[in-house]
Amino acid sequence: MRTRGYIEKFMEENKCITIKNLNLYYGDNHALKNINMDIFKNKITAFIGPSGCGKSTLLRCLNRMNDLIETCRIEGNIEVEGFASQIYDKSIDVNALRKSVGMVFQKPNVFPMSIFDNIAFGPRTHGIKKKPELQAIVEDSLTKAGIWNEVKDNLKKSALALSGGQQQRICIARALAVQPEILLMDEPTSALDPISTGIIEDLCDQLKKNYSIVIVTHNMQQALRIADRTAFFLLGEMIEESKTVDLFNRPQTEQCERYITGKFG
Amino acid sequence: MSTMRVGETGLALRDTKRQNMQKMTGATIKWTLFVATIFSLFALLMIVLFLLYRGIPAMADIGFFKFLFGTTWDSPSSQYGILPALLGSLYVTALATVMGVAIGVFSAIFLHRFCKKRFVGPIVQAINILAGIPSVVFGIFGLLVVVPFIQNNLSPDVEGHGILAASIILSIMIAPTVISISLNALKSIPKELFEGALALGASIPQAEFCVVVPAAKGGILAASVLSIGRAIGETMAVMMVIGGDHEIPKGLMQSINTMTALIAGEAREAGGLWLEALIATGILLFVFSLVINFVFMRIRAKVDYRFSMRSKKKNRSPMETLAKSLSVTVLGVGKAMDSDHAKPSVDLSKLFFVDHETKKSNRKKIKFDVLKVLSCVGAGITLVFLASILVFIAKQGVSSLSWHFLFGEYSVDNPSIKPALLGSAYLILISLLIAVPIGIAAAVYMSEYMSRRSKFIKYLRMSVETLASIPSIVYGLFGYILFGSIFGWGYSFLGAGITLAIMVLPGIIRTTEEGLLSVHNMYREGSFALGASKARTTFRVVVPQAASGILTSVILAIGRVVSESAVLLLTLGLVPGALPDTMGPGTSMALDIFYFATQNKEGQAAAAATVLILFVVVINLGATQLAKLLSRKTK
Repeated sequence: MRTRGYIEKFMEENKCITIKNLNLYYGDNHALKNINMDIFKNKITAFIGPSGCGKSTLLRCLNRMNDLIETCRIEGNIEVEGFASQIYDKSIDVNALRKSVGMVFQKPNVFPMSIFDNIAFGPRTHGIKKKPELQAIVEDSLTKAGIWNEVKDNLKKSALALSGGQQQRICIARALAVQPEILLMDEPTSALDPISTGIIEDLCDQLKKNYSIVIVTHNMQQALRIADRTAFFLLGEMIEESKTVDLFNRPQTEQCERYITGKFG
Repeated sequence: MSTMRVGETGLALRDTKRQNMQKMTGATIKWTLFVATIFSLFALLMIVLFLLYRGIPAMADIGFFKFLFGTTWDSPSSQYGILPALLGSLYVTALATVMGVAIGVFSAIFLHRFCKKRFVGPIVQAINILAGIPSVVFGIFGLLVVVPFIQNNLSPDVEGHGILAASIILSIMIAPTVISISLNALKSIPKELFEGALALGASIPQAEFCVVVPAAKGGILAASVLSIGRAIGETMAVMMVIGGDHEIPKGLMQSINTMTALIAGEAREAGGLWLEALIATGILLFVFSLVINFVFMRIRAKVDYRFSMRSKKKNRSPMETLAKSLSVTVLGVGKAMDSDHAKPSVDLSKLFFVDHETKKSNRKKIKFDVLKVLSCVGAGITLVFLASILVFIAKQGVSSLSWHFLFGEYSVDNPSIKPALLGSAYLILISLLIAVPIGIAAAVYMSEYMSRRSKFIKYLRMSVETLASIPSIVYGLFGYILFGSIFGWGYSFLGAGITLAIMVLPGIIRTTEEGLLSVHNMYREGSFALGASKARTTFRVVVPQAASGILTSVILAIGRVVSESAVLLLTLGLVPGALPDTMGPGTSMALDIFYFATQNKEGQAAAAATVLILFVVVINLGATQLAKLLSRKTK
């Protein structure tokens, strides 16, 4: 790791997630090994690395989606801003956590309902019943996700009728509708064509003004294009983490250098 | 870090209160579902315990060996030897299975490879109709067509009832199941295998019979085992043509008895030790179905293991879903047909050997051409029987169909099926009101709330499947004694409805669970990621997507309730003309057919059968269309 300069010290104050000594096992498989890192506020952090290196697993730890996997065992601490204790503590309400740490998945998973109901699902979950209030949230979220103009006349239509890229933006809007602080994105563009990918990348760039974004990507160019910070993973370990430009221009470790220059992976 | 974020709008303020409420309702929902699951399990236990509790002492009283190996069944002298009926069941089942599986497998091969593509769809539809024909209709067809045919053409000195007639009828009854499961198994074999064989110089029949059929043998075997289970448990159709003499089966034309026919025929008059001897017979039937079910599950596990490469994501077509659910509900099969993405390990060189000597090779090819002809014959037999059943019933029945017959007032001289129509409707109402909520709740609990890796869920599924494989006459016997004598209700719609509810419950659970399990996990994750609770995710996201499966299961249950006759004979009595009354005896469509047939009112029997078949066909078509409609809506 690089020595921390003044700028880094300043950024540290602005971190929204702190991961300490995190180990994760799937049965006997030691999938994440002693991860320590910070995620910063209003920045885009990219996780890169070859398939099976644990980057998606780590992402799913941050909103406890790994709870759904029965063989999964987690040691260590993850602290998320706004929560009194670390998120795997018994006192944490996992639904409240997921509300403030939203997630967008690899494959667009819009529910088979209308566009409106998709966006309103989250707010309704958290107790908003009044139609005008819901309408305001739906419009606001769709606008933030940059898709309002495309769908505003068809809110009653099934979300499944939209294209893949549009569906993914619906998913982003749906995540935004519960007013999260942090947005996790698990390879959100890997199922999309280049044009939709470009739209989503631009969207991420705008969203970071209000949200902290963690994005898992297979595409190094994508990390270079949009991420402020990048973490490189290999075989369950975090090898290197720094500002994106630094990581790509002056990698500190040999593994990372070999990976970003395409020599393995 | 601060506990509460600043700048949150109304959302945060409502949080704590809502969370507590959510937790409470979540727990309530979970407990309700759990209770439904336990209730379903309890129903199974109750039947088993009841059988053992009443049957074992009877066996002891009669003497275990005397019961199993005695040849006399005579109530005045209290001798109850089950051997003739036991052998009769085995004899008829063996014959029927051999014929039915042969016809079925060859038909499936025909449909898979040799049939012109545009005829496949209609033929499969026709076979689905055959699968939906109630057993009592097969019974009257046997009684009015097969029995006289045997009498007139084969053995003038015997009356025609007996082993041969029963086996023929049973083999037609099991053929559709064998066809649909085998066809699915064959379809699941990748076509590369077939093409590989062709590329080595095999003829089309040779490739089919040497490579594709052996590769699908797991599914075909499962189909056969399943059909054994159905044959041994079949009651009404067998009872109507078997003859009913308590004799050791020796010849093909002999009139004998089977265990199911014995129970259905005598339970209503029996009392005391006689009745308990029949319950002991029920135990035997139960043991047989257990063994068959166990063998079936073992085969299926093997097939599944081989096919474990298949992708779970693949969406089934509505028709496949229906065919699958049909077999799930009616027969208890599930995964045997599940082999969409088969990766069978077939060693081409071993199975398939190309001979370079032309003569030999030609002879070999001729052998396969013969097999090809046989497969056409198999399909021919199936279709001829289907056509003759439908034509016979329609021809006999149409002349008796009239407005009065359908909706007029019942009288002995001028009967109508109005009471039966109302009775069937009432039975559907009672049984579904009980079975649908419990079944769906149990299925939701099993698929959404239980750990998918736990041992308990495995045993629970096994119990449900066992419950589904119990012959319906055993349910009938259970209802007859529990509601009829222990509760003192006599024959009643309520008792019959509850018995039917228990009978259709496992099918509803299985089909619903299949539907729920087929909902992709990404939707659950999507909902959880928004902070939705378990209950909300389950009921707002998962269950609506499984709606088509759930509805299909309900419709299939309706079909089963209207077709059922053996259970009703023991629980509802058979009082033609009696209008539905919750605590009174009555009649149903299937019972009326049986009644008319035994009263030599062939026209009326056929007319009622026409109505019933039409109803069942409409129900099955309805289920298909509904499944299509719903799947289009969600796609």
